[in-house]
Amino acid sequence: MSNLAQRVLRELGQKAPAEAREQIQKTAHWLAVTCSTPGSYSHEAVLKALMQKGVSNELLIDVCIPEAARTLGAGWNDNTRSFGQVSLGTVRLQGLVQELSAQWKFNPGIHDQPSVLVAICGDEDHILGPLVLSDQLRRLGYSVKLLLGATEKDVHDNIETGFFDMVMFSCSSVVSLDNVAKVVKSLRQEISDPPILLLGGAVLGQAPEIEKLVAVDVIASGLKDALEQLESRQVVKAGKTKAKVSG
Amino acid sequence: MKNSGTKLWDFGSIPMIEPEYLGSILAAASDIALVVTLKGKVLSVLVNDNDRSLGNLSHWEQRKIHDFLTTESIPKLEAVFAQFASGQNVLHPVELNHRDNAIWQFPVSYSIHRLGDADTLLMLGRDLSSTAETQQQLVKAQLAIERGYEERRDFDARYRMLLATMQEPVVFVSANDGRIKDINAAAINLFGQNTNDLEGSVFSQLFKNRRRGEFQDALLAISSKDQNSDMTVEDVKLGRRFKIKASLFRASGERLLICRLISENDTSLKDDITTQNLLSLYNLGTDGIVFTSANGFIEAANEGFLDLINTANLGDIKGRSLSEFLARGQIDLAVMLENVTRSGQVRVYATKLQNAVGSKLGVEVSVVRLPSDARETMAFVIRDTNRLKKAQRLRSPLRISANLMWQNW
Repeated sequence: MSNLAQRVLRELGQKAPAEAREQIQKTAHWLAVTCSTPGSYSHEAVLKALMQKGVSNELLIDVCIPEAARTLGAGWNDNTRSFGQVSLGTVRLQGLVQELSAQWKFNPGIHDQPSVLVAICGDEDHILGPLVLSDQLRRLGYSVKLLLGATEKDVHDNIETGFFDMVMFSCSSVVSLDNVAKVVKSLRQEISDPPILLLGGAVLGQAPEIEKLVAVDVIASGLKDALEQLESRQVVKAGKTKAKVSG
Repeated sequence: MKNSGTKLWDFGSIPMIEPEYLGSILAAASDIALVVTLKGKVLSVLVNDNDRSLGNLSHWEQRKIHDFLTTESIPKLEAVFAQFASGQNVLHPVELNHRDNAIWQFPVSYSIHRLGDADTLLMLGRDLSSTAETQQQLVKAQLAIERGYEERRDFDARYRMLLATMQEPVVFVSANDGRIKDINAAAINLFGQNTNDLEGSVFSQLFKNRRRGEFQDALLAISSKDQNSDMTVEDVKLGRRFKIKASLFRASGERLLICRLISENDTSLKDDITTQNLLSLYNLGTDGIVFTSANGFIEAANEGFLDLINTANLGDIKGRSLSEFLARGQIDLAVMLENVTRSGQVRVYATKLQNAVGSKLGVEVSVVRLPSDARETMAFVIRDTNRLKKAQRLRSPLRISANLMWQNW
């Protein structure tokens, strides 16, 4: 069974019938091919074709598009896709996430939802993951602010004025991890009781003992992992204590 | 490849190249040329003199090429080395990301060839920095678009909150086809339907004796007059009369009408303390309060009443007869309406409420007829008598124990 098939099974359990799972895999492959084709590409035509494939917006964003991006990356690794094709394909996939996530309706509610600042620091150009993450959080009822190309000051200002419950730093490489480490360090030094600080992203597989490099409260391999850790009261408590001590 | 008898290659007329010229030819034919061992040691680096963007890379020599590659490029090159070590050739280009001085990265597309010596390879690279630059521009454009989306979300959230919390019913109607584009919570409550049914439907269908074209023209006509212009309509469901005030505007090229609905019965709310207190009593009180038309059709009801009949949404009961929620149905309602019409009020009427699943609850109802210029409205205040009895039972022993305490002291 392919990795995608396993992932679809794991994420959807047995809820989706076999035909639906097959359709999801086919759609992910179709997206990877269509978005990396150098020829003419119509965003509208691709969206229309996607809608006809019978896969929900939720599955497109959560499963198909990330899988298509992984396929592009694997293509570069095995020299079957060029750097240009991968770049172009990724940007097109990001455009699709933006379009599909904009179709979710904001549900006005005056209750106090948990709020999250998703920060991508410096020149980090891998934004597909954070876009998907933000959309997933919004669907779960979180209030999300996505901060792209964030400077130290941007993150500070937002924390001071935004009353966030947590800050999620998304980082794709060791090079950009330095930026995150600097921002986290300054938050610890200058804000007395910062929100819970969390780190995720592709960087987790690239550097050993990452917790020694960045002083965050939680390191999570994905949204599910992050929410599970955050829901356990011990982590929240530990995070807050740590924040107070370091502040 | 070469013919030992002449200095020309045997498949063409290109002459033999003397070793001292080969380097400059290779450097000129590619942007970067490397000679490396199969273990990755860089033996020589040649950079095209015409392309100065790569700078001086002589410090790469005698060091491992791995030191100048990004993490994800190392396994790619290792795989290529393994192929050459096993005697295979690599015919496709291999793209690698170089890094130097920690932050500076540049992608290069290499064609890799075996040299005579079995342990060394020639890597002829084409600098993809210009492609990377284009990619960076694309990413920046994408980031700008995403920031735009974020701002839009922010604005959208404010707009939605405004619509959801404002008490004046507002409907956005397309000036082209007369269909509802957006509608706020107050208007949804007013019409007693759900959002999905209303959005996209023809606005004029909500009112009596109104054809779409004629209705649309009338809206456009009042929108072009002064702000006080309005038109009177009567809703299909309950026959209530409204004034509509409309303003025309353009959004992304589309002409839209923002229509505000004002009930003719609705005397403007006075922003005084009594009004605010009455509103709070209506919203927060535990007794059920229901306003109906003269013949008992529900126009509004508070949360207290929804609790008594175990119903989640006002929309589910709006427009229905109050008799549907009374145990003796129409008989109860008729008795109360007859008395209130005759004397203006009913002080106490004991009956039972029944909810959708049929369970019954003892209640006391008082009814008042509210004076109005246009049409009558009945106000029902409904109190759960079971709760009253429980409270009385609880109060009695307390009083006794209090008396006992006084006696003991």
